[in-house]
Amino acid sequence: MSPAMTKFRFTGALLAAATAAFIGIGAAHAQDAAEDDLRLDDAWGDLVIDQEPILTDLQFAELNNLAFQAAVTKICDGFDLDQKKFAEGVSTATNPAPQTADTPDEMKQWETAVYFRLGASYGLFLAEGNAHAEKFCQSAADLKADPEVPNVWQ
Amino acid sequence: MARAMLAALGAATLAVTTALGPVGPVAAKDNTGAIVGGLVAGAVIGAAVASSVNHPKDIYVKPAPPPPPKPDPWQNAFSPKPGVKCYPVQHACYNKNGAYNANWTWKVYQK
Repeated sequence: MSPAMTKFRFTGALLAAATAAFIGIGAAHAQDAAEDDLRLDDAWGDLVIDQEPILTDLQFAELNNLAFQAAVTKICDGFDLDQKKFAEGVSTATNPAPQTADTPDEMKQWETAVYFRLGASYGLFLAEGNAHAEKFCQSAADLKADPEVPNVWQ
Repeated sequence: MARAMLAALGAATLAVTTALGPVGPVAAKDNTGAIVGGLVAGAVIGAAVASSVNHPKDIYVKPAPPPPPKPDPWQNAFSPKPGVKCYPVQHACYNKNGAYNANWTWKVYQK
C-alpha cells in the first residue's frame, strides 16, 4: 500500500466518532424534508448544495455508497460491515487528495471536511432507512445480490 | 393635517361672519336663522377637523414583493432506466419509491 493510502486509512474509532457526531444533524433535517417519497430531498439539499468540491464526482458517489452500507448495518438484519473492506473503501474514495491541499494544515482541514460529509451522509441514510425500513433494506438486498457491484459487507 | 385644520378654521370663520352679518351700525333685524345656520356649519366643520385628528399617523408603504423561488437543485435529475432517478448534485441514484439505489449509484458514477 502506498504512503498516501496509509495516510488516509480510516480507523473504526474515527469513523464512529465522525458519524455519531452528525447523526443528530441528519435526524433534525429529516423532519423538514418533503414527504413525497422516502428520499429526504430538503435535507440532502442542505447538505450537498454549495458543497465545496473537496472530492471528485466519483469520490462523492463512493462515499455515498459507503455511508449507505454503514447505515444498512444499523437498520437491516443480516448485514455486518467488513471492517477491512470498509477501511479500504474509504481509503480508495479519498484518494487522490486534491492538489490544493499542500500543507499539513490544509490536509487536516480537507480530511475533516471529508469526514464531516461522510458522517452527515451516514446520518441522512439512517433517517431515510428508519423512515421506511422495508424499502431501504430491500435496496440493500439488491446491492448484496448484484455481483457486478462491490460492497463492504461481510 | 395642518392644511386640513387651516381650511376648516377658515370655513368656520366664514360661516360665523356670514351668520353675524356685516359689521357696523345697521338696522336691527332678526338674524336667528343665520346664527343657527352658522353654528350648524361650525359643528360640521369641527366634526371634520376632529375626524382628521384621529386618522392613523402611520404611512402605508407597499410591502416589497416576496423573493423569487430558489432554483430547483434537482432539476438536472435524470433516469438511467425506468424506475431509477439519479441526482447529480447529490451524486446518488434512488428508486422510484425513494429508496437509495447503491447499484445504480455505482454504475452511473463509479464506472
